[in-house]
Amino acid sequence: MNGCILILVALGLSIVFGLMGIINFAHGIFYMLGAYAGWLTVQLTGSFWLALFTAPLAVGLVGVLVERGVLQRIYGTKNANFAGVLVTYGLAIMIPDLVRMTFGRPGKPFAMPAALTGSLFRLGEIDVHAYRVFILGVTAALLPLLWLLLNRTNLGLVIRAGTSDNLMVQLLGINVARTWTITYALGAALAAFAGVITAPLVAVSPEMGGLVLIECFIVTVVGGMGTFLGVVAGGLLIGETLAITGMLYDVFADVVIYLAMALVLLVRPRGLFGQEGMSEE
Amino acid sequence: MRPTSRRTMLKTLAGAGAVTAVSGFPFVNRLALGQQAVKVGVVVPQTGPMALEAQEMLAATQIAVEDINAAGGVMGRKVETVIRDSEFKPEVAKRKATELIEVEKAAFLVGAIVGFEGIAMAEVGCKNDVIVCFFGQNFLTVKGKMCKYQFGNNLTPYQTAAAAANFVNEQKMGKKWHMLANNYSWPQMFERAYSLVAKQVGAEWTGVTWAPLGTRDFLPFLPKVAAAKADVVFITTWAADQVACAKQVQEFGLARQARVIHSITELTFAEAAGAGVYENFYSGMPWYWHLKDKFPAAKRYYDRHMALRKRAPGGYTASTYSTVRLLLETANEVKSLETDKVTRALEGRKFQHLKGPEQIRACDHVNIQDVYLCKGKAAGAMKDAWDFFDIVQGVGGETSAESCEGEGFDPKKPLSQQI
Repeated sequence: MNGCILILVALGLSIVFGLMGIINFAHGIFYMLGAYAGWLTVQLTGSFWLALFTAPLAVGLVGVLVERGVLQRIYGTKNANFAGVLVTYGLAIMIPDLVRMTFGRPGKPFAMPAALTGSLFRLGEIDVHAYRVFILGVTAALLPLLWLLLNRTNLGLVIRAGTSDNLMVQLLGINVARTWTITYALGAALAAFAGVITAPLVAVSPEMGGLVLIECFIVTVVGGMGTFLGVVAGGLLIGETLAITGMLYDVFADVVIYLAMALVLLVRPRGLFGQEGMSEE
Repeated sequence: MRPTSRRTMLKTLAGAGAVTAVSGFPFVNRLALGQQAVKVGVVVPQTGPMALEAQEMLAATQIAVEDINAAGGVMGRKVETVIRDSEFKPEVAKRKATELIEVEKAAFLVGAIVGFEGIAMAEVGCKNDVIVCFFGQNFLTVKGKMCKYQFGNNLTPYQTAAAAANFVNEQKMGKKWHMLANNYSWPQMFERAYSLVAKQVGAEWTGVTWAPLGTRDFLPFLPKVAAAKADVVFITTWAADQVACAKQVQEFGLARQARVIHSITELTFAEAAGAGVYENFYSGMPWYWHLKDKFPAAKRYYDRHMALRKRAPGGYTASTYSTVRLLLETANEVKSLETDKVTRALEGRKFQHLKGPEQIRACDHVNIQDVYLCKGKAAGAMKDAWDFFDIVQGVGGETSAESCEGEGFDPKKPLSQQI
């Protein structure tokens, strides 16, 4: 489960950084907002399946508001990168407080959909549970669609070109501003989707975005900023590392992933699948 | 005798007035002091992941102070709380506790939900000879690590674990025990307690499956727990980890093969997990609101908390109320705010607030009290939004508390004479 969640959340983070050069500290908030949007949908309609659509849509819109209302004001300014870090960090502090004020401090109960409870089949001594298979399946279904978006559409072409050479893309007359908005919203939507599918298994609270963000940064560094394959590989690697190390010697679980990040930065700073020259900046 | 002149009379009166104002005439001082409130410094994490629990505890503190003031205050003086936010950081807790003592001149320090806050506050209280009472679990009862002014009305990890283990033994739930827990010092105290009690009752302790603090996905650890083939699995987690663990343990179906017992839980966790998540799990608590049907004082407290917070009070909340009330009642009884005097009066003190009889054991300041083992209800069986559990049994008194000798203290002497 961890690997799938990290892939979905880190994809948005990676693409935003690759295209816009912004280290988006607010990204974990979209994961949290997705869980809350999903909870609200279920409260109002009773439908978990509807929440899978409304949560990413709603949070995607929030992403549009953030990008247009806040981030666009710092593009092209002196120290825009540093300003981006500060601004997004500020949002990461402010938005959870807004959530507390709106929804209250108590964590929100989010039940697993009845159709996905229970064991699907047995693998040796272990039950394989329906909801876990659902998370795997839905992530596996989404990834090729995302790949197609990035590699077979004009939008994807602009995103990939912008990731390689943003200035050139602008000089070619492409409406980069709109692309950035769409990209940012897409990243937010992906994180929100991860939030809503995780919600039945974890505590839905304003604080839930913090830890996942740190792990996503590690995923993007290890896999390579701005690369689809890098994020998928990084997400699987970090997710499995956390799980296996936790089982074998839990004390080292967190340490190992930081060590992995440090090793990658020393040996191959662009990440396992990163493009040469980009991530070293 | 010459008649006294008006000037002389006025001078004499002025002098007497001045002397009276600065003198030790008791009735005059009492009159002056009656205007000065007794300050209780409260340090809780009003911001951060335990903010909700902190708000609940502040409400409990408010109710306790209202009760004390309604009964005449402490030595006729009104009690006031001065509240500071620890921000869930030990260095901030320490700074705020220091400020409460040095600037606000608080007579007592109360608060702390988690260990690192408690350690920080204890350090400040002990250094300044001010009584410190914890709201969270009382885990600092270790000789060499605590000072004589530390008190904790809430359960100790040993009490909590021993109560659950004794319950398991009495209910004949099985003799093979295992624990799933986050790996840090607090659950490690539970491991020690469970393994000791297992030895005492002839149970087999199969060890612990440790998960890192902040684990989101407990599934990788559950097969290892299942492989232990234990009759009883004790789960020692807290807050968001407990909510995630409870959801995933329910999903995994661990309760089909073993009795699942959460060493301790709070109402806010059951609320966050949702109706039915704790179904068929047992949980230890210092108090549960169903006790209002047994103790009139608990009913009164429940009603006031519900009116104030629009939610049922949890176990830690009730324990907080009792902590603050105990401290202030004791000070009032001995007619003093002097730390040593109040400390000696607290040692061995018997009282009864919201549950059965309790006593602050003199040798280690542990509150000898009942622990309630509660069973989680199915969603359909809940009568209202807070009806997550039924009380199965109260377990406790001396049988749950670790002996003073076991902690390294002399059982025959009060703690204030030992350190």
